[in-house]
Amino acid sequence: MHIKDICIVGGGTAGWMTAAGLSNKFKDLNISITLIESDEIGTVGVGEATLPHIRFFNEALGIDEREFMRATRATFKLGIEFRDWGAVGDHYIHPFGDYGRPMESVDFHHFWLRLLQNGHKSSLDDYAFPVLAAEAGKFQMPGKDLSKIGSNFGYAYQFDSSLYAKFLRKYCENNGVRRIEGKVVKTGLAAQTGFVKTLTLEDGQTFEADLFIDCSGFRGVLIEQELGTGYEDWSEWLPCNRAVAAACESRGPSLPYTRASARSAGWQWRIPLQHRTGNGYVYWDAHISDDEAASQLMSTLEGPAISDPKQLYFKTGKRKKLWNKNVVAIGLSGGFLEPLESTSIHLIQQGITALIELFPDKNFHESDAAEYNRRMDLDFDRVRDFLLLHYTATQRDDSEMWRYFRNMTLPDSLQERLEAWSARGYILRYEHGVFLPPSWVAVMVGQNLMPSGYDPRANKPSLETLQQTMEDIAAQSRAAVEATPDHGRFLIAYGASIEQEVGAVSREPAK
Amino acid sequence: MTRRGLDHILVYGGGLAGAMSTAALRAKLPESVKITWLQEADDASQKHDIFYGSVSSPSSYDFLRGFDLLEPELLMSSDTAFSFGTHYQNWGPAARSWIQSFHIPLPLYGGVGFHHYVMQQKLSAGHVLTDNPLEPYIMPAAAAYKGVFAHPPEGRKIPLASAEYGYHFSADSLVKLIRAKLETPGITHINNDIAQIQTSGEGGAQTIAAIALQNGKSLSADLYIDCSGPAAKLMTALPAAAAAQPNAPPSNAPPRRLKAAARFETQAKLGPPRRRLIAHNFGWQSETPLQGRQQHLIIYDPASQAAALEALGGAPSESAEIEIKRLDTPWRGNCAAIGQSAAAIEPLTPAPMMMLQADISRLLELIPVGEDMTIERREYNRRFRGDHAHAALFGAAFFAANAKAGPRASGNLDLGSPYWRAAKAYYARADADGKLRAKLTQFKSRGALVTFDCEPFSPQDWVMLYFGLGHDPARYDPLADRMPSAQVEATLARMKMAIAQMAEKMPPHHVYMTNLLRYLKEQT
Repeated sequence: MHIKDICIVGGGTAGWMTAAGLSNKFKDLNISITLIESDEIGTVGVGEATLPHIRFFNEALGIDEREFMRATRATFKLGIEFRDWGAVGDHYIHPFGDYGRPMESVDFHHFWLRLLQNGHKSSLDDYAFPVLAAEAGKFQMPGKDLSKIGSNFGYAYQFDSSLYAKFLRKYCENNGVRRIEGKVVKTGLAAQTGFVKTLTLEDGQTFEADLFIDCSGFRGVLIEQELGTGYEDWSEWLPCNRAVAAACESRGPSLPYTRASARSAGWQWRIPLQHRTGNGYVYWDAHISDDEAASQLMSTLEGPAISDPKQLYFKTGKRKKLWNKNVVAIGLSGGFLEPLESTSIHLIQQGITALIELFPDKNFHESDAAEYNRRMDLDFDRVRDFLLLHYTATQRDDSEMWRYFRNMTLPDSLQERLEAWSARGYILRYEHGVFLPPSWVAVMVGQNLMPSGYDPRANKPSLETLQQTMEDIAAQSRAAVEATPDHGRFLIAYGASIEQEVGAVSREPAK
Repeated sequence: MTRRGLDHILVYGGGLAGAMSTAALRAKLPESVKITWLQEADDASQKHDIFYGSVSSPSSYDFLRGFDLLEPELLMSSDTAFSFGTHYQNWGPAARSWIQSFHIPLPLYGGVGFHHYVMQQKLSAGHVLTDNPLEPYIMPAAAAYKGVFAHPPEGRKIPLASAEYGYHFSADSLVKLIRAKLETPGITHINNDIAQIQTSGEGGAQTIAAIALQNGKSLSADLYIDCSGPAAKLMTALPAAAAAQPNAPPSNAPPRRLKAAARFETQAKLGPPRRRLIAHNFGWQSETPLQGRQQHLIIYDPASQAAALEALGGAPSESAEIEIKRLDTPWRGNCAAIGQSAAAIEPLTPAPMMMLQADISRLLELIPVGEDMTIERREYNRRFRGDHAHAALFGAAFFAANAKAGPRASGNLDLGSPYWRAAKAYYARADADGKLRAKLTQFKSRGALVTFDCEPFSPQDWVMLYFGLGHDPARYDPLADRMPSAQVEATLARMKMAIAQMAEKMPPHHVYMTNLLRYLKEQT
């Protein structure tokens, strides 16, 4: 009763990641994997930022990091810089790592809040190696000695996702994945069950499979157009619904972080790759025209454009069931959340991991789909809350969009989180969800949402002892950054060829 | 501080919950916070401590350290002994027998959970090799069967490193030890009876204003901790709390009452590092080896008292009756209920002690920052519900239907007896939202583990329980077939042998304890 044939509809990042993950896991198990894609349907390819989890995905595939970075023109990423989010002129970095270290099992930020509320001036960033390193344009691999300050961070990549898809395609073809060029024009359903049975292409070829994975993008060729699964619309909470993207030549030193700058009707990304910089403006069409958005984007590029602006349309939300009958939707066919925190590829990865763990047999037990959907829903919900936090933890009210967020009724899950933080710096914890407490702290502190209290247990050490400990941590962090090479040089030593100047960051870090 | 912080916390109740709460609060909060421990002369909470059971999970080590009760002192100054787990016998319709032990996460091979390989071997052998295919690979279970113990060495590549351990304890001995440690100026001890609990405010905003004592004095605090046991005396003084229905049993299931009785048998030689628990029609009985004595405990339905007492085999020195239930909102106004005053749990697993520790830890994380406790209350109650509901799932699994009959099944239990009928009806309610159903369905059909946020019992606890109860998966992860069958077989055989050899080399529990105590005495 094992599944024998898997058919993936759609190439692109989702399709090829899925094919790579499945073909690697199911090697030697006599399962055939076919991927149908059409060269006519292009991908965006302006650069994409990721989360540290992607390293585990690549590692599981046995991919050599240097080779992968050369092939995808990747740079390292220590976090995301947010500009103008809390208030115009503000900036902060959301790092992939912890602040300081917990003391007596009390989170570090409570001790920092105690100092702050006792009139001491210090920035939480002073205790975060990845923030200090990012601001200085530096990078090194996390240290192995867990007692040292330079060990408690993670890193991700900024790369060209279309090159990543190409890279994985080669990997997949070596693993025996069959690639079929063509467009699906007809779907055959089983009369009784409504399961997808066959796909027919333009040229008349017909494919049969047991399991279909819909990686066809926003259209959801199988999950929506065929099965009519339905879409949960979240644009009430995340109303941005369009983006315009363009690549440009890089200027200035190579930076180990992505930038997201808030705008009056959305926000703009900047993703530095080895050979160019990806840019895009995510906006809400009610408050800015496409032309205006494109011209704002093109006028703020740091170097000459090397592509025409490309327009994208989307609706934030997710499919009501990501797994319906014998179709699993992975990637944009499953849902869309704006790339503010680089979660798109992560959600693809989660989809693949959960599918492998709950891989069906030909019986397709309803309980497997239910469990898959439960897990994925939780992931989507929690990312949604985290994205929404950026728009609501703010003092901005300088445009229609920002005023909309001001007056919004938040999901209870987020509202309670904000209240617990504001009252006492308390972070509601969960186990299943990508953003850990330090991420929530980074954004809330970064956007000036300061608690009025802190955990009373942080009052246990004397103020003097505490100050000394804190200063030690800050000094260790500074020293660790001092000893770290700059990102561009590290990249070159790692086998990259970057087409821009190499050298230290000259600008003084803001704040 | 922008707001007035907490100045005074009053803990009420002299039993295990009161002692542990007082100790933890004193250790974690600055001296500027005054802590009063109020105990009545005739303290009913201690009588019910028997329902905390006799086994704690591995989390106790760190928890006790949190108030400077380190293991050497614990072993030298109380009757505490080591525990690798519980040996359940004659359990349920299939008369299952297995050791539910404490283990680090089970290994993954090629990204596939260990238990899938075990099932692969069992299914491919074409016949039943062992009734419980997992158990031969579980180090602490092997050691418990042999009655041997040694501290698991962290990070070393020997089988023993996969074991974890909890403690066998008796509440009275533990309370005595903690009490002695609390004779410090940092704690105000008051031994007097409550004359009246004075409240202020209306309805949901009602709080405790003061406690009037029999000696005419009056106590008032910013935060009250109710550790008075099932009576929940402070909670019931708040009408809002009284209005909060304990998870009201549906009309077809009567509230579940359990009785407990224990006797202690002097035993010069410490028994094995496992509790033995045998199912009976009346409920169950257990033997827990402690230093110098063994605890015999019976837990039974009040209707079956005669049979239960007969099984106890001697006159009980302790007994109590309790209603199994939990509050929806154990923190009301300025009063939080800890332990049995919030939730009474059957001590079938280490859950009662685990939940007592969880209640205290949760309280420590949410010590109010000011007079307005709205946020703390809401979050405490939300987490309380999650923790206890998830712990209850584990207990409920023991009574889930359809346990497969194993070869050793004798099935001599009368499941229509009051205990089994009431247990099943009660625990069916524990799964109102279908979480246990989802867990069992996924495991039984394919060995997949369904997990929820912050569950107290770990995936390895669940895997051991599933196999122990006979819920073998119908199929295993096909990815397990990627590893050559001969290689899997050889790896498992090696593992089994290494575990057996390790157990052979380990000293008996009593020898290890004697040597350890001698060493510790020399050190001090």
